[in-house]
Amino acid sequence: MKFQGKVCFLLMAFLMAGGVFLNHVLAQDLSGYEIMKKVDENQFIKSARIESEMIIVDRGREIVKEMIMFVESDGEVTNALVEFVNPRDRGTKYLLMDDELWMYFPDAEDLIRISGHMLEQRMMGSDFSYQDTLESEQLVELYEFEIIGEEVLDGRPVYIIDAKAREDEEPAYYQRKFWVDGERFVILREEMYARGGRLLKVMETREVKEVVEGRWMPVDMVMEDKLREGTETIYRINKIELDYNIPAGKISLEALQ
Amino acid sequence: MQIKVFPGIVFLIILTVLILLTVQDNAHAVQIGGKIEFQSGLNYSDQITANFSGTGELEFYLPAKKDLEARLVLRAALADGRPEIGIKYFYLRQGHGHGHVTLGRQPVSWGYGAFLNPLGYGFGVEGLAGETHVPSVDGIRYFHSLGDGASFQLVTSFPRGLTGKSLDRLGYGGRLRFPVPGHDFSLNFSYQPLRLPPGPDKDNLLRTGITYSGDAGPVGIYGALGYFFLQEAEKEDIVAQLGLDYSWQVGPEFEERTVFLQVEYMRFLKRELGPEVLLRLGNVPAQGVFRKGVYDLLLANISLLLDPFTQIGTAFLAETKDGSLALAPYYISDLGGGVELNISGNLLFSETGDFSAGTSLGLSYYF
Repeated sequence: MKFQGKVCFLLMAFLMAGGVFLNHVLAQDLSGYEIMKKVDENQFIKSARIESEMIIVDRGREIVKEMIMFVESDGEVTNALVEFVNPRDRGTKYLLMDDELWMYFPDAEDLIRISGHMLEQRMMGSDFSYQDTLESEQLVELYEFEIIGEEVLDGRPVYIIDAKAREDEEPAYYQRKFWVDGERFVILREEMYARGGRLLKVMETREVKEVVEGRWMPVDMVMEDKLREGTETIYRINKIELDYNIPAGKISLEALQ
Repeated sequence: MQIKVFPGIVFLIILTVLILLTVQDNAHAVQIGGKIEFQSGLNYSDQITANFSGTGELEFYLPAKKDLEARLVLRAALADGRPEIGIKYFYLRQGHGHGHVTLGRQPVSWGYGAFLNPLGYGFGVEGLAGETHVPSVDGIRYFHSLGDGASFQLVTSFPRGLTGKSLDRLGYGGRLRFPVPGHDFSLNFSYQPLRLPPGPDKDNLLRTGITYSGDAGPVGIYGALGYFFLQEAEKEDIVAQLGLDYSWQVGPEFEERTVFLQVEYMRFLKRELGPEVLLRLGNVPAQGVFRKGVYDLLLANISLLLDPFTQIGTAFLAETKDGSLALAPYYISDLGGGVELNISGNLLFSETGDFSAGTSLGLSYYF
């Protein structure tokens, strides 16, 4: 298998060097901004209902968290409600409302405001932070982009795009590097960096799906927190309903009291 | 002659019928979940004692019917060889345009992130050394939304096995909650009978005050300021509480593990009452540092996520009257498959020479 992998790699490298493949596919002469605008058109969620699972893996052990999430976003502010449905956490809910995080405890039926520092912490011990999971960002509103390369990744032609936070914005990550599918305009790989250039996380997309005609989205992703070894978290979307008509008041403090 | 105003059994039958009415069209959708927990421990005070206990909870997830929903949670316990089966929660909730009314045995928790909530309805403990005690009442609660997250609620509770003689044992409370961006305020009021000795046979505790939680830069802060009045004993006091929480990564040498720290201090300023009066509101197990005559409490909890499944930490409780100090280290690990391991200990010291220690091993299964 390793030998076959090397052959494939060499073949791909040859094609790249010859420019045969990429010139054909990626000759659209798009700027970094235009590419990411297309990514946002695909991946940015205005409103949705999502059934998903998070598989947290650490040195061979794993636990599964299952959840149902309602999301609505205007591109800058995301409001979201996530309810866990696996037995250990059943009924536990997180509410992201106007950049503030609230947690609902099902046994006490109580809603408590979670301190702001927790937004950056790992959600349920996973490699995803609360922000990673709950926020739906319009990337073109938050970053400046530059194309820094083109290559083939897992058989797909990709643009490599460097993104730095706009001066007037404070996104969760100061710098990001995206590998964007040149045909489907979805992110196939992403690296997230701190302001000092330290690599914090790497996310790889394992499966993309055409959720509605002409609109592709990642539905199976693996996140690795590079600050700790031996762990990864798989985030898998089992069902997604885009432009979902979320009942009025569903994502609100009142609904959880 | 004792007049039965609302005997418990009648109350349960009525609730059962009402719950059956809510689920009759959707009986197939009823789901069941819960947990089973076993715990064994060793304690040393003057002598060594061993104990074993088991508890189980069974929740019926009943489908809501329009604006009517029901909750039924049964609880079984085995302690010192005696089995007990009871109802943890059993209520009906009728929604309306701006809120709901809940009738039956229900949790009433007015939390704001503190370990100890001096202004809740009843007395709640939250997440202290992995322990949580949720106050619950038999009663009626009305919740009304005021918009933008603000709300008020009113609650009336009656003692279990209510009779005509015990009508003076009703409790009343209210909470006005008004979150604003970055802050969560609430004004609380409660008037409740004390349930546990010591003290006069009957007494009522009135409490009113304000609770707060918010952020001060990267640190979470919270607190409470309240007035307490013990009716028959004619004692009053002012309670002040201040707390903070913070989390950080401990550096590459420790694989950037996350540490959580929470510290809070509560003081009865007039020293006429103390934290022990809160214990008499509910079923929270007595702690050594909650003795009569203690007027302040310092609590801290520090924990470290060893890996995504395992948390290790210790709680710390202290008071200044006679320097009692309690330490409660704990280790909690999710073993997968719904099984959780919990190992904990406790050490209590005082300047008077009192010493006790204990350790326990628990296993929980969630289904």
